[in-house]
Amino acid sequence: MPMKFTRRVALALCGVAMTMSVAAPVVAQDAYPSKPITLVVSYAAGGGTDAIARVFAARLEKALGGRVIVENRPGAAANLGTEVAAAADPDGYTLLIGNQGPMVVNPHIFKLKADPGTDLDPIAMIADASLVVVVGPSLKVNTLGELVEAAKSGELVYGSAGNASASHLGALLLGQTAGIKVRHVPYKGAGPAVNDLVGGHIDFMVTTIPSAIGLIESGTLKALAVTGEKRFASLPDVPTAIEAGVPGYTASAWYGLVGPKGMPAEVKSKLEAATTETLSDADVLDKLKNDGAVPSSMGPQAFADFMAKERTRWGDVVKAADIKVE
Amino acid sequence: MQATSTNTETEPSAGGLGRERLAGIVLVGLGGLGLWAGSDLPFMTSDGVGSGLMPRLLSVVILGLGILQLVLSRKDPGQSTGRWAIRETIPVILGVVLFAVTVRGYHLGPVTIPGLGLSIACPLAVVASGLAARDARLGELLIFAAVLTAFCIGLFRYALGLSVPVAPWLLGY
Amino acid sequence: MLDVFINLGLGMTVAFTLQNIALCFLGCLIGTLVGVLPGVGPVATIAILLPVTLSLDPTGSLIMLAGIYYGAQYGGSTTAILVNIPGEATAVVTAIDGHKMAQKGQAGLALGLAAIGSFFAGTVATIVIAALGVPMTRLGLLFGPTEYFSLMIMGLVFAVVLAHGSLLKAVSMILVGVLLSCVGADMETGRERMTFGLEMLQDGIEFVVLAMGIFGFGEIFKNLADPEARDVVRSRIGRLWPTLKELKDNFPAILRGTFLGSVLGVLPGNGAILGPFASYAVEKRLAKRPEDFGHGAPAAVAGPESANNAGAQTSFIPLLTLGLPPNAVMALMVGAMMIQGIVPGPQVIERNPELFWGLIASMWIGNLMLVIINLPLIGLWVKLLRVPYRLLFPAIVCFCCIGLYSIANDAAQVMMAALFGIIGYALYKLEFEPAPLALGFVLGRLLEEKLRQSLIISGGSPLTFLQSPLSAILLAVAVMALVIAISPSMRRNRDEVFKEA
Repeated sequence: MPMKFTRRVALALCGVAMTMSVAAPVVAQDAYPSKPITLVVSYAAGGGTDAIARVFAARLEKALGGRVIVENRPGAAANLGTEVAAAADPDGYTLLIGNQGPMVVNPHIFKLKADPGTDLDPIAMIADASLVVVVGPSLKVNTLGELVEAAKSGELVYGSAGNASASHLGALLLGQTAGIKVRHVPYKGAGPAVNDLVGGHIDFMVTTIPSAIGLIESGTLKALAVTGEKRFASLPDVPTAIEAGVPGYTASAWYGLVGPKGMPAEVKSKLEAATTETLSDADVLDKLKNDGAVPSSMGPQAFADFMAKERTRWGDVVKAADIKVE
Repeated sequence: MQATSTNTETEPSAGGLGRERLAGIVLVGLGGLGLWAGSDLPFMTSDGVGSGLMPRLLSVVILGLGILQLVLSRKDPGQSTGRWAIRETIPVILGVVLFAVTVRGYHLGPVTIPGLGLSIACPLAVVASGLAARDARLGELLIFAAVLTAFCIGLFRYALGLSVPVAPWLLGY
Repeated sequence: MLDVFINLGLGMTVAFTLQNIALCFLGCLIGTLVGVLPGVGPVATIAILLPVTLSLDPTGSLIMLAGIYYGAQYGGSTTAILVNIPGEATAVVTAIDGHKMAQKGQAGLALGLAAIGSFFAGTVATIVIAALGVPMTRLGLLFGPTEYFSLMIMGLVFAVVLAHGSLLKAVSMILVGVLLSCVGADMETGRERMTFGLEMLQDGIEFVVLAMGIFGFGEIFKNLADPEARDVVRSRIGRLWPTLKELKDNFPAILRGTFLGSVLGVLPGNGAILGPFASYAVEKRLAKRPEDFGHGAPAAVAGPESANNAGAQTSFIPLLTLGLPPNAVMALMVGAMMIQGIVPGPQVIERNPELFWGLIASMWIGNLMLVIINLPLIGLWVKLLRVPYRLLFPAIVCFCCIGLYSIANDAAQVMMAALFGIIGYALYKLEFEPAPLALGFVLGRLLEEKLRQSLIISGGSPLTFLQSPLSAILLAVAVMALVIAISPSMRRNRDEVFKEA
């Protein structure tokens, strides 16, 4: 009986398998990569970082001529992925999607087993996603300046996608730069927070562009500023925060490719070239743009310098807000 | 053998207390454990609820309910909890643990188990847990394990595309 | 009203292309498969398949992904009924009476009622989405953290009704569930709570790990201890499909379940999980023989399953009308739309009417597919129960292990489930019920989150729960329900004590 069951289900599965499996490209035995590469993502399947990683990995396979397997290793506030990558053999077969939180913010908040600054080797930056300051129907303001003015009452509350998330830190930095005091309401993910913003239960958010763009276009939410250095292509009428009168304010969620410290130079350069090739693919560009991100052209050195700068910058924000985990 | 029978051949835990009193003790224990585990958490903070409020409140109520249960069952005749299936539980737990430590490898102090993948972890789990049945037949179980493993690898790894290792020692993933 | 049918007609012409029907079928099939497999959920499946669907046109890919979602909802109930492993919170209720029915040789009836109830609910929910989508979105938006907290309190009170034994033990289990949900990093400060320094507890306990442990492994231990009783049950295989009379008897339950599920499905933050629980509570209250509940009452499967499916479907409403994802699967759908260049939001209905109405029409087709896929499968599932248990349970262990591992690619989750299995077995021995614990766990997480959010927003004033009229009403209902639930059973409990003394 169990054999019969197995056979029937196997038959049904054949159809599924044929449509789903990606054929493994033929690989040369000697040159890198000679076996599948594991791309570690520090979050569960289904999040923003995971989505970027999967789009990236699918095209990177072509550029490298070998399989790239996305492996989700969520845990320990996204620090587990960092540990896994840092502990792996530096042979180029274990790589990590490094993003803002675990790479430059968490070292200031947690006691880490692996320091992303010294135990990981930056290969290339992949994409940079600016955030957007939005207000809901509970607040009648039209510009960032008016929001800052309204916040002086000390009564405004903002939502975030979670403690120490990019949207929390972005709002913290806004408060610190503009000198206002606002109350923080953490949510689990941007979705529920945006929901309460639309319902008028909270006043404003600094959130990722994909989580709010539809509501901005329809006029349900009002976008006051984007937090990047430049305006965002899909929101041409929304000024940058700097243009809107908060000098020096930029914040973004970014993603890069990193590996364990000590990878061979030729592996690194091959990976860098493959990343560049991937990011010049029109299809990938399109998907990144739709996801609110712009591709980056930073190589290993520029990416390393950028991360060092970000680490200091967010370290100051975190310290000023006294976020830490005992 | 009924679960509620008074067979006492392997009945260590009821200890003559009876099921209802034991249930009360378990609740008191859980409440106490919760209180202890959450004792380092702040109850209230300056601007609202602290992270310790819910755990502590709940633990106290559970503890209270446990005591109430003990009071209510004081005249309880002390029904037995029945036979505890310890002989059957151990192989299943062993099977699960074997799967866990072999699928990707495991390090604990001096012990290091290499990652063996589904190709090894699956049969280990099936055979070890299968031995729990009183009517287990080893030969049949071995064949079944082989078939099931092949099926699982095809299903999870190739059809569903999960990144679970198959046979790192053979295929490299 | 006429507009609705014209629009649905447009949708039908979109959905009824060969390609889209094939994609819908494929989605439902994959969904059923991952739903049946314990531990592999729709979120991971959709995330993994997302890059593959990019080569399809937006409508086709969304139709397929939606199919996976409700296919998984349905498949999960199958596992809950057959082997007592609820893969999702919504299937916990189904497992209570559904598995009891399977043990009585009525697996076919339970699965058939679930399939037909789900199909009916899906059909109604499709029309609800088309006709009432916009006003129902507004209802969802009324629920801020304050109102949600009160709703959760009401839900926990309803959970008491799930119990069929000692009230005190049921309440304790609910509270233990809430306590377990507190384990892990604190959402406001990131501080570790009750983790005993264990890394695997840092991000909290996964629902699937808890459910597979206390229900799945617990059930295996229970069966192994008692082989004779189990095999007697297994030799009795009843009819495969429900009779007309059984359908008629359960139709009111299906109707009520559909209504409850449809309404609760629009709530943000996965309000759909309350649907089956509410339906169970209502059916038990209305039943002529409430004492059958918990021992295999068909209405306790038909109602909650309908509610489950209706809720799964109406949870698309906030996504379709506002672009707001109420749960993780919907958030992925947003991702899928964005990557395809469609901005989810109120403007989709204007800009992409063929996608909007095509997706809605495909929901109905998907429900039809599910019936077509699953009715013949019932025979297969029932036969599966006749596999000798000495081979069936190692297979279940194997599938559970892989499923548990795949949640986070982490072996620690597998071991944690084994530990919960032992706990589940001990709870069974002490006659504690696992269902209230699971419900407490699911609602507990939201409960604390919403409590703290409300108090931050109100500046620390607990009066906020009474100042919001909606919240005050919900709390009043909760108090009333609690009084009704406690008063008779208190008396009964006392009687029992006296009788035995």
